[in-house]
Amino acid sequence: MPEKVEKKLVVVRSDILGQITEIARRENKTLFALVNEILQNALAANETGVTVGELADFYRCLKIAKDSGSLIVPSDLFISLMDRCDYNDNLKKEWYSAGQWYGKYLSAKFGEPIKVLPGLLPKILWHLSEVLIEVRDGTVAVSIIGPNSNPKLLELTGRYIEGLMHALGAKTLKDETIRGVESFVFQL
Amino acid sequence: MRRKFLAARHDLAQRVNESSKSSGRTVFSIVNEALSAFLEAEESGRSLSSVMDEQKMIHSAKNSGMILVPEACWERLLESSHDCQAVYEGWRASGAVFGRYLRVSGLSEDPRKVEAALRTVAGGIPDITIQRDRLLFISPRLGERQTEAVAAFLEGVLAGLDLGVTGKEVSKGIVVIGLKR
Repeated sequence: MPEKVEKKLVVVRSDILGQITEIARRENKTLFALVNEILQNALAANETGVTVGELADFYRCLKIAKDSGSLIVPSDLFISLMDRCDYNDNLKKEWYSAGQWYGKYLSAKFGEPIKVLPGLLPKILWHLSEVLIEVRDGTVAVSIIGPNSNPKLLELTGRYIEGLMHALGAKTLKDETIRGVESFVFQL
Repeated sequence: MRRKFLAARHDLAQRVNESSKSSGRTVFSIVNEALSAFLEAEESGRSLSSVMDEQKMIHSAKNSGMILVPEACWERLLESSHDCQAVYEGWRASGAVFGRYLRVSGLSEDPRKVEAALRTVAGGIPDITIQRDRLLFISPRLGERQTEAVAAFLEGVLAGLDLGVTGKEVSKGIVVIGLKR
């Protein structure tokens, strides 16, 4: 005779429960089994120091970046190629237009793209120590901070941010660079 | 917002309860977050555990010195480089670090996970299969130089995983590497 499993009731949002019940039915599982599986995964994620919400967020951001044409490449190689090639305005223009393209992509995908930026940019610009974004009174302040990042890469990232914001219809009000930090203020 | 009761295994509910105490969140928010994340993963055709694996792989890539850059800019840099061998060497070295990282993070035990890791970091939305005696990579949209770069990266990964290479065939968009276990 199978061992009796001790159960406990937890409270959930009824709309979410409705969807989970539907999936359990579709996958021919009991609701109890499916919920346990989900909680087990969530607890496993927790043990690694992240919540499943953060995981889902990270996955969403990375998917957006990859779907919009970003690639994962070795940073050493990237920097050495950048150093060897003629580091000129063309390279900056390339990054600017890549940012513009990304901005257009976000506009097409999200109703209010500015709102997704604070969650999105820090996750995809992981070569920086910090990306700070503050939306206030019709302006957006963006600071990219990378005291240990390659200065040229930081500058290219700045052009990318500018291209992105311009594609979202913002105008540059301020652009200041102090060693390892580039700060922008954009007018929406 | 309407609420309902749901039955869960007692030990799991207990652990959620402990997690709620240590994080200062309510059990209600933790359970809803878990169920919502599951629904989101389902919607994109993935399972929650595969999303977790992917996150680990991205961390491995990040910690082994890789960055995310716009593809067009990367291609332009590759085109402007005259020293192809140095580029391939760079990829090979990076692959070796990534392979070693996969190994130490315990992701190399299961070939399916290695395939998923390579799919995550290799460009061109590839089809990657690791069989007993060979690794097969197919990505029709990659050009010749990029395919060579990927081949060098894959060779590096295999070295990082302590797998021997018996031979390699590279043609535009296709890489076949013979494996010695």
